[in-house]
Amino acid sequence: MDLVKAAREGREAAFLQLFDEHHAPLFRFAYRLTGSVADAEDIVQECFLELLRPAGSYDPERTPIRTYLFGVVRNQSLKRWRRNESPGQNGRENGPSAIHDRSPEREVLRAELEDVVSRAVMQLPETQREVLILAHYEQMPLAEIAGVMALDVGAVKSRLQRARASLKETLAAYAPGLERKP
Amino acid sequence: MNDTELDELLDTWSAPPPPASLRENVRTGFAASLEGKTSPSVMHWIAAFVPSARRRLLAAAILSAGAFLLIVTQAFPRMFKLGSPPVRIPYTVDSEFVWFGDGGSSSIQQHRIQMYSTSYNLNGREIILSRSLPGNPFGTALRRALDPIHSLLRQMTLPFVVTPEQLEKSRSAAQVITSCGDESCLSLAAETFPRPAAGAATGCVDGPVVGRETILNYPTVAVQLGWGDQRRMTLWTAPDLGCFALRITIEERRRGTFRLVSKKQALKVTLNP
Repeated sequence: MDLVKAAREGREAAFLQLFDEHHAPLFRFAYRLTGSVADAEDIVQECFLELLRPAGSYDPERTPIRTYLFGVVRNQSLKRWRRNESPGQNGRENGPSAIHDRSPEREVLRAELEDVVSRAVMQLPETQREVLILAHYEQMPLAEIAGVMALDVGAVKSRLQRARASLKETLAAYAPGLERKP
Repeated sequence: MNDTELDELLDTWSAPPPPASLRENVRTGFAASLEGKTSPSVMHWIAAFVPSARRRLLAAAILSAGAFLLIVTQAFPRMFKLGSPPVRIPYTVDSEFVWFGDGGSSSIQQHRIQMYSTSYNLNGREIILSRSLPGNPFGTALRRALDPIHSLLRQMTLPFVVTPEQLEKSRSAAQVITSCGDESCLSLAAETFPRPAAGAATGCVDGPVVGRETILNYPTVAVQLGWGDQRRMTLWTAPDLGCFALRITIEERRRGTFRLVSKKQALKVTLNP
């Protein structure tokens, strides 16, 4: 059954099934692009409502739904990024989501490291940042990333390599093998 | 730094889970988009056929008619039933709609009664006769005035806004009001279910039977329907009441276990009202 068609016909169950299947990775992607929970929430909401518009750009014969939704989130995030010039607090709004069984000292160090990593990713050029987030955090195949970003696979691969090389340089002092002195 | 070390570092940046409010907001947006679907065409029609000089007059007339209806429906709530069909109603069911919040406790859930309704079943479709929203007198008055008009308009315009196939499919299916469509309950969420084959053990709704229970002296069959693995709905339908759902629960998976989100519960059945 075509869930998008059913949702556009007014079937709430179909719409919510689409939401349940896709919202979590879309939210993570939006959050990592904007650095703000509030922005990510707005973007994901807009993304699903965009699907309902009869004149919307989604064409099931051309694009898989997941690729389309990631593409909408990407475009909306970029608009907000450009409008605000700099992203939010890189996840510091809500703090780390997971509760780990660690000592307070280790927790402080971990939070600091998380902050450093998020800043390093945020400072990447926008085209590299998107590719890295989709490839590393969402484990998206290169061909699908190419679909989301309307690029060829070669360009995606090259951007990913540049992003990783740049991060290795920026984060060299934080390599897991090195003992960091505060 | 090698690739594995970089991956380990990148993994330290975790994303928070989506806020619980996101789903409800999206759902509200969905309900609003349905409400708004007819508006542009009506506005277009008005713009095309009513001269601009007369539009203010038309707006004033509509407002006056609305105010008149509001007064009449408040004064004679039981008499003014535009939505009622020209048939004898065999029974009515009084129900309450309850919303459950997640207060952060695993054992106690906050809950609030969103709405009381009186409805009945006509050819498998639930029709609301009246409803009230506790703590919201303006909303109650608004819905009492608008519900009959909305019902009438819907019946009149439906053949023009859907295809004949969709219309036929809609008529052959059962439609149940399952919950409030938004937090204030100004809109309602309804689900359409294909009717099972004659003689099917599931009774009224096609799906796996998860129990049987007598509610308000009427035997019911409980059928559970899943939406992905995150959400499920259970309907207790009474075959003796034209398959009216005397209880409907909607649950969502939160922190690994299903928790109640909303419940519609019959409080009283009145025969030959």
